Amino acid sequence: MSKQEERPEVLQGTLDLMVLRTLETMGPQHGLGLSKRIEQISGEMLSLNQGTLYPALLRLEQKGWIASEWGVSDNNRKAKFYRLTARGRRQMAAEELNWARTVAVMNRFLRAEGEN
Amino acid sequence: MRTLLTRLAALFRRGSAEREFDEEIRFHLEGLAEEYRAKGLSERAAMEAARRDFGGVEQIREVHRERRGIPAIENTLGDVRYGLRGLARSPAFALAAVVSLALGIGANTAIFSLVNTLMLRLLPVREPQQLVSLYRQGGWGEGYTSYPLYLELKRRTDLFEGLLARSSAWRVRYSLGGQRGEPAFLYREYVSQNYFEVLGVGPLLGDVFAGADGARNSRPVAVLSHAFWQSRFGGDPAAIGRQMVIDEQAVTVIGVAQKRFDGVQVETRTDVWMPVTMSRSKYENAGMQWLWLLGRPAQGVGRGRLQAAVSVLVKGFLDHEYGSKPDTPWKRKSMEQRLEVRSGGVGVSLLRERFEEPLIVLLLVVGLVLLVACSNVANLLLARAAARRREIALRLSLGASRIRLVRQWMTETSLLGAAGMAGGALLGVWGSRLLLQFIPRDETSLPLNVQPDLNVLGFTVAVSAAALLLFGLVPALRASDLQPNDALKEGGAGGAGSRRNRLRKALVVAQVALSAVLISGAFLFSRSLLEMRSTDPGFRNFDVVSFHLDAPRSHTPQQLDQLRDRLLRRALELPGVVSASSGFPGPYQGGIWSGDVQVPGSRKGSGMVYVEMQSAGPRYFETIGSMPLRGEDFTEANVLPGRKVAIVNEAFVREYLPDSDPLQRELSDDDAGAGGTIQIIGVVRDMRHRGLRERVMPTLYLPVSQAKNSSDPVLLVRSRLGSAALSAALRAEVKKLDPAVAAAGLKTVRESVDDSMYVERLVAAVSGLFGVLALILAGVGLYGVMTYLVVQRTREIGIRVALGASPGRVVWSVARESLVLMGCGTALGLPLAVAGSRLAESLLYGVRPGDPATFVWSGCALLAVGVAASLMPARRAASIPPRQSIVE
Repeated sequence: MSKQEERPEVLQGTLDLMVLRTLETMGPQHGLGLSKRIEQISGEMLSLNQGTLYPALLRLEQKGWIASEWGVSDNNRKAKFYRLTARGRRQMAAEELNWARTVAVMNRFLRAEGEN
Repeated sequence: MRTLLTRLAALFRRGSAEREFDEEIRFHLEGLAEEYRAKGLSERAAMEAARRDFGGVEQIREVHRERRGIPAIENTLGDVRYGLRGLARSPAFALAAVVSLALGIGANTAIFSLVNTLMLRLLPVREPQQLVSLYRQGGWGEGYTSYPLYLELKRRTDLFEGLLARSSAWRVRYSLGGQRGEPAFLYREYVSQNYFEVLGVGPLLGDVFAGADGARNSRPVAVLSHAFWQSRFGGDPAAIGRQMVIDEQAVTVIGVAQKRFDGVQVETRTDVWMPVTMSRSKYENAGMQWLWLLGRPAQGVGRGRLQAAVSVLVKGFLDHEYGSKPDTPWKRKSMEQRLEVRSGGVGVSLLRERFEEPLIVLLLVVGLVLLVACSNVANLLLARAAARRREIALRLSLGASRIRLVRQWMTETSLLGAAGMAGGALLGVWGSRLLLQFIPRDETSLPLNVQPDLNVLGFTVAVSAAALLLFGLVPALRASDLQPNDALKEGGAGGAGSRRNRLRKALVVAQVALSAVLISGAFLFSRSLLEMRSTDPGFRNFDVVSFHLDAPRSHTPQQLDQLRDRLLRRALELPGVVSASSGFPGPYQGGIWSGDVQVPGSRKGSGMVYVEMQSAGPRYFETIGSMPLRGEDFTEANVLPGRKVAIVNEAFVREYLPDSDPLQRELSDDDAGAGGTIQIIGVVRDMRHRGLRERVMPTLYLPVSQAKNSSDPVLLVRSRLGSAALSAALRAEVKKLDPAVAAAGLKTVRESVDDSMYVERLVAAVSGLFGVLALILAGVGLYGVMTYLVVQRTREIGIRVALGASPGRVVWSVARESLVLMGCGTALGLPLAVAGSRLAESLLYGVRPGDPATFVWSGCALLAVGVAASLMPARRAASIPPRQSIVE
């Protein structure tokens, strides 16, 4: 448990972008696959209760950025697959831009603080 | 938008979404577990590890659930379902709560309906709140005033933009063009020409009156009310221009007034309006008080200025009218008249005068009843909360949010409130009809229109909402104000929860205090009514049947006199009839006759004195059961043409002839100049002829044949057979003698006397009913709390019994607690009741407001209820076996 406490919590919003990006590169995925992929890429630097993924998925689906349907997994079991919609694709570009801006602003801030 | 739609859609497939999500989670967990198994963990360890990675399943599920639909609506629907299920599980609780509330709300709605009808409902006219009513006081009667005074006031256009006059709505015969057969009746109101114009009521069809007053020779016309036009003419537009015969007078219908308008008097409804100038009475006489004035003040004339100006005007008018007349008591009384400016938007009403104060007292009574009901329901809810502590604690510890619990709780209480409101509204409508039964009326008068309107609806909703807040919020907050661990650790019957107990006890004390007020009121008003009923009116024969003759106008007074004589003779031949007579105004017939008479040699001087008068036929006093104390009753032998005789009452003798033998004395007529003297031939007891509250005035009884004013004497017949049989026989007899005439208003004197006490009966009935109800509710509340306390103390009592406490001591320890509660409530309530009784002082008769006996009895009633309510719990406590409770 103590190991986990050192890892930063996932920021609300960044999780959305991670999901969208993962779906873009990997194609349709079920929740388990998504969470594994996110953990893998973040290099286990993030603490993610995998369950928290689901409310995010629901939110994205309600916004119409992703869609879901039932399919069959690799091990031949029924699973719900999520895929990026056309709107989601467009939205991702905007989200990426947003994120880049946020990072830039934060960086500038941190550097300015450091100089003082 | 899209989100909203999908969410809305989700509302309808809630169950399937839930299942789908479960499946998704299961897939996820099993996938994770499989990996852990592959790493070599046991089945169980793998599943645990998977759960750890996933995080709190229930929490995620809850978050997911809330985001899936629209939480507000979904939760509310869920809460309602949950609430209904909860209530269905304890039907006794739900029923008790709903019935308490329905009674409380219903009682308030019923009384308020009457208040609304009599005092609040605005007339359906243009800007009703501008209207003022000129209410006459002083002199004889009230409300109505004379036509000459109206003309005088109307001239003052600087004061009034418009001033109208209207008579009361009289029930008269009518026919439509030459029809014969059973007489039909309508309510006719005489109005000034500007009536409709001042009110701003237009014609629906044809015309309403217009033009100047006093156009005496204009053709006789009438305007119909919409309702009358619908019912009698079937809404036929051809009614305009039709001829009608109203009260033997041919008139032409010129128009129909706008819908919903049926006159300005609350307790009557007008069918037909006719101009004042068509009245065949001496309407230009300043002594004839028959018109009620309503007006719109001119721009910028305030109520105060208007009142001052009107008072000056009335005084000037009276001076001019009576100033030069000789100084008699009659003149002084005439000059006491004054007009009071009141708001007229709610219409005019004589009933309001009598009923306003009792209604406000009743409104207070039912307000208290609602408070009692609320505290009862609050107590029930607290008991329920106590019973559900563990359930709530469990849900709290499982992660249910506190606010959600409060909301659920409030939903449940709101359901109770809504059911109570619905039940209350129904009870209220029914109750207001029931209340109307107390207001006396005969076949000739219409019932008050207590149809619920927006005012009543708003009131009911507001009262229910207030009640909901009162009884619902506190238990709700209490219920969630709970530490899960404490409640879970507590044993079923253990745990102090003393704060909760304090609250419940406080509620019971409040309930008892309010009940003390209500039951004292009930005692006070019932005693007052009993006192009144046992008041001796001065005569004994309450079984006498009284009635009037309802004859067409074409019958002359002489014809009617002869008819009455023949009828009385025939009545005496009817089986069972003991005696028959007539008189005016007669016992409890409403109406008053008074005049001046000279008592030569009286110690009050030889001037005119003002006395009440009554006309009486032969054997009048024998018939009503009050034989003269001295002298004799009127008979055919002592009432002879050319000889004036009179009978006086004791008050007359006390006042004017205390020192001499009244039978030796003579009186003079008011127009004594003509030289007639009146021989006193008898003295009768003081009789209350009009109302039991009336002070008995010096009264002069004159023979019917000699009285100038006995235009419509009441007929009185006494029979050994029942009044129903007698009434039927009399009706038939009247019809036999003259088919055009009908016997009207057949009633026993007992009924008339009871009718005269309708306010007292209504107040006693309502306060009695609710006093008893409040007492029962208080008893139930006390019983509930005591039972709960005993259950809580099971362990303690068991130990006491095991240590040797006798059953008597145990019973006493329980009873003491209940008596303390009862005592506190009574101690708080009785002073309140004493204070409250002073408010109702004018409604009481024969009982003083602070009447000690009443409050002692109320205290005893409360004590009895307290003992009864603690009996069962105390016996239960005494029967707790020592071992069992220790083992527990």
